[in-house]
Amino acid sequence: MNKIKRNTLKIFFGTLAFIFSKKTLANGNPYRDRFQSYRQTFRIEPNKLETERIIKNIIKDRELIKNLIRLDVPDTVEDGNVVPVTFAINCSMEENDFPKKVHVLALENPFPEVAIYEFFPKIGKAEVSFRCRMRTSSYIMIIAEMIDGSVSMEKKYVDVMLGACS
Amino acid sequence: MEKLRRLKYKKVVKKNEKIKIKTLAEHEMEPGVRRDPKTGIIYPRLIIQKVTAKYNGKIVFRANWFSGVSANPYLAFYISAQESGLLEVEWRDDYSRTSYKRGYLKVIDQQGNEILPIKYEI
Repeated sequence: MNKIKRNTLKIFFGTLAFIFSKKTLANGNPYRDRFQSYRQTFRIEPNKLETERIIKNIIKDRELIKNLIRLDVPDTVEDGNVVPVTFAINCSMEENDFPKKVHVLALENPFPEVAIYEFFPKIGKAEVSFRCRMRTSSYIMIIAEMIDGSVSMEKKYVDVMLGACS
Repeated sequence: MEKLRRLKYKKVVKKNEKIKIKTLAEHEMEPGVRRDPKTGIIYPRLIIQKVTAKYNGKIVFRANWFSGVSANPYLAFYISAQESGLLEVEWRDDYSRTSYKRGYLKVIDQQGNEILPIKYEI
């Protein structure tokens, strides 16, 4: 009889402790933050050294070709949430002359890499237009990697009135 | 809930014509930096990572996106029309959830006959 009482009491207090611990953990910050940091794959503060490192990793000490990229961005943008970007690459889209990858970077964003576009041969034109976010007024940089290993770069300064929190 | 996906292009084109294909997806691209003003909790990141376009089963164009792309992302690119066939665009999520939009492209030659992808003789 005594044993059964002891066991029931144990189970009762155990369940109580479990429920309370769960509640306290759910209300506190660290419990929630653990899940959020799981998908938080980038830094919050922009880092200049990091952007330089990213650009270096893409270019890899190769010589830059001039007059390959045409970049159309407005000089001043009111809303940093929607910055229209169009770029075109000057090439005949044959088997040995097309851009393999085109990187779009917004320097001074917390995560400077905005997009990577992949092209395939014989698709007419290498021209893309899309919209991106910018935190502050800074350079937009486009780096194109051609299929024969050559690289070219183009950048333009954009004045942003009201920055996005990207 | 079904979200809006849009695919727009010129439906009937001539051969070797360069067509502009415009796509739009309704999606709030959560960058993972914004905080709730009351509680201060960071909204978790949720973006579209990949967009692939196929023309008659072959991959024609691919975009890899990060958190810097704006909400309700618009994307326009070009293809050159060779034969009539299926155009498919696929949007892929952070959780690799996908959504599709597809359409038919009709290509005609100078006499006005349709160029079919499968060639057969009667």
